Amino acid sequence: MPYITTYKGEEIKTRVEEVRPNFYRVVLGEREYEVDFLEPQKNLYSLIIGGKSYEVDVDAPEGSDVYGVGILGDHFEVEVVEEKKKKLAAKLAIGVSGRQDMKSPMAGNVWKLLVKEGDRVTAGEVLLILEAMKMENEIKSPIDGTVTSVAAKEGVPVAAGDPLCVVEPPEEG
Amino acid sequence: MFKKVLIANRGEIAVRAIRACKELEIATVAVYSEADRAALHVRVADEAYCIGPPPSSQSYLVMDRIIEVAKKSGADAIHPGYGFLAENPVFAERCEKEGITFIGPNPYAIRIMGNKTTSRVAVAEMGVPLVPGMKENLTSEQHAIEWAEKIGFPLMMKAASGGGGKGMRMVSGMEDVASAYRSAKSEALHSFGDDAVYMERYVENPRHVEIQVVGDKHGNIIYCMERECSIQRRHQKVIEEAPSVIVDDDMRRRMGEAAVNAARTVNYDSVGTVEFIVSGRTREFFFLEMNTRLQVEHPVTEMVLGIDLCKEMIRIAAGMPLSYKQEDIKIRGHAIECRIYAEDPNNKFLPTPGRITTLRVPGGPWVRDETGMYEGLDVPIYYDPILSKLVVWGGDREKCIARTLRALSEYVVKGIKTTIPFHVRVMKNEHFIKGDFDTNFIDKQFVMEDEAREKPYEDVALVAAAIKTYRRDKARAQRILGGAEQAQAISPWKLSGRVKR
Repeated sequence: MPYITTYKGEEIKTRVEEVRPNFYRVVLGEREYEVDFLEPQKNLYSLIIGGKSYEVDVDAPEGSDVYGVGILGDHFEVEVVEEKKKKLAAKLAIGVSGRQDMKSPMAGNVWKLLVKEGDRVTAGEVLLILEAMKMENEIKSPIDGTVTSVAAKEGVPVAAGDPLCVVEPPEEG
Repeated sequence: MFKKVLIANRGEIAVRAIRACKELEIATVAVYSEADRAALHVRVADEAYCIGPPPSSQSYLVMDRIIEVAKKSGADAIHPGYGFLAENPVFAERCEKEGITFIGPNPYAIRIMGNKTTSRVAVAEMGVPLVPGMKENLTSEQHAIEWAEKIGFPLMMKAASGGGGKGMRMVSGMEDVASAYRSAKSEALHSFGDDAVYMERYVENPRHVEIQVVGDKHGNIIYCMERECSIQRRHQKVIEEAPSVIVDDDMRRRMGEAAVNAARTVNYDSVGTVEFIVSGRTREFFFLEMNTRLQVEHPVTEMVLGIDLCKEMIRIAAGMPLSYKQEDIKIRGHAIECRIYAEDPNNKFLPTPGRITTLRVPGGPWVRDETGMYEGLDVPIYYDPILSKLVVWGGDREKCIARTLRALSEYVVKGIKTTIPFHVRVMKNEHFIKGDFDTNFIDKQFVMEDEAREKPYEDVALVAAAIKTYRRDKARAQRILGGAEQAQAISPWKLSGRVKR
């Protein structure tokens, strides 16, 4: 299947072919790799490429095409998208805009809620402060707009991915 | 010796204390908050009692509850670990009053050393060096010049009500004293509404080196050499080692004797640590403070000296004399400790509580895992993010670094992010390898060098991501096709059965 891999801003045409179970041929631009693959533990890969053995930690948040890949202390952020989908996405506007569903980046406790429904906020303004493991973490608005709903409650714990609040951009025109 | 010890702590240090007790054949009592029912220390102790809701202010810090559990369970001593009630003189006194032995120093020592001012006054009387400086404010340019002569250069002109770097002036020579005095004064007035300024010596290339001391209830105090703790992130130690590359035998003896003198001011009668700030340039050392507890990084000392500080601490509390004389204390080889935190080093070190889905602990020769975690544990959000400490011994520093890197490469924690990748990168950093760093190294120099580092396995990462996507898409497609495929699937048992027939 044809994919586009994006790494450090560079797009690489990518093809993956399952030669036989647990054996893949991966083409990255001009480079071709034959990969003996095993997933002995979930999201922890054992890859043998040209006789070299690698242990690779692949982190894949649900619903995201961006992977965090870890190899021997090094970390790589890699996006892999189907070629068709990538072309489609390119046609749509890029950048942070539109309705922002603010979700909790981690499990924690809502320590301070600084906005309420109807508040106008500017990009970078702190919406609330989460506390986890004795550290305070500010959650900021990515856009100028209005807070249209607030799900977070002060003093109430949240899990990673829980909705916190919604910021909507001002209507145009 | 005690019959039963209550451990008033959680996580890796509670497990450490329980291990020491078990080896001494003492029964153990764990206490836990409602968030820690599944914690490792609860599982490995002989008895366990819940002491309240998750916040530590309602559980691990509530003296009444802990004393109550100690009495109910018949514990005759309490080990406080570090943090929580470990350096609370009121708790130590309370234990004494209730007839329970507090495994730590006498309450007077905790009280005096727990306060910056009283501790400095106390140790200065014993001739322990402090950062040279003034205890009063400057009154005139002439006054500043007189003091500058006494303190020496470079020195720091500081606003008395200052903070955050404002109202501070570094002065490198006599010719700049007068002008620095005037500008610091006006800046202080402007920033803080108070123009009072004073001076102290500026310690160049500051390194944090501390001396382990051990005293008993019979007046014996020895020093157990130093630990180098300059690898810090935002003033928090993250990697410690013993010995320190900047300390030679003569300096070690002088620092050790200063530390013993400091301990003697309060009749110190347990394990403790005297912290010094050391100039990486001049190798002068100055007293910072004394910690009256078992330190997080105590294992590196244990590894190079071959002694068990946690057990010694318990024996001393039971009234036994020191097992060692000063001349028995000899350094052999080198040890490094990496603190493994539940923080994501690739995302601003944000805390990452959650479930540990996969755990592979490093092994092999001279590798020690001081842990509070296990596979399947939910790391709660309420406490310190420390998960474990990897402690490694090697014949010399170079071998120790290589072995630490090897052990880190075996250490796998999945489900939550940890600081393991950060430690790998520090172990590979050339300044760390050379021992060329101070307490600002990680925050200033390392972050830049780390950004610019070579990443040799880029293509392997891209290959892994591509395969991941392919497999995910294939699994999705199969889920959509669903039933039809499943009906066709043949059990491998059946298949092999058919072949045999």
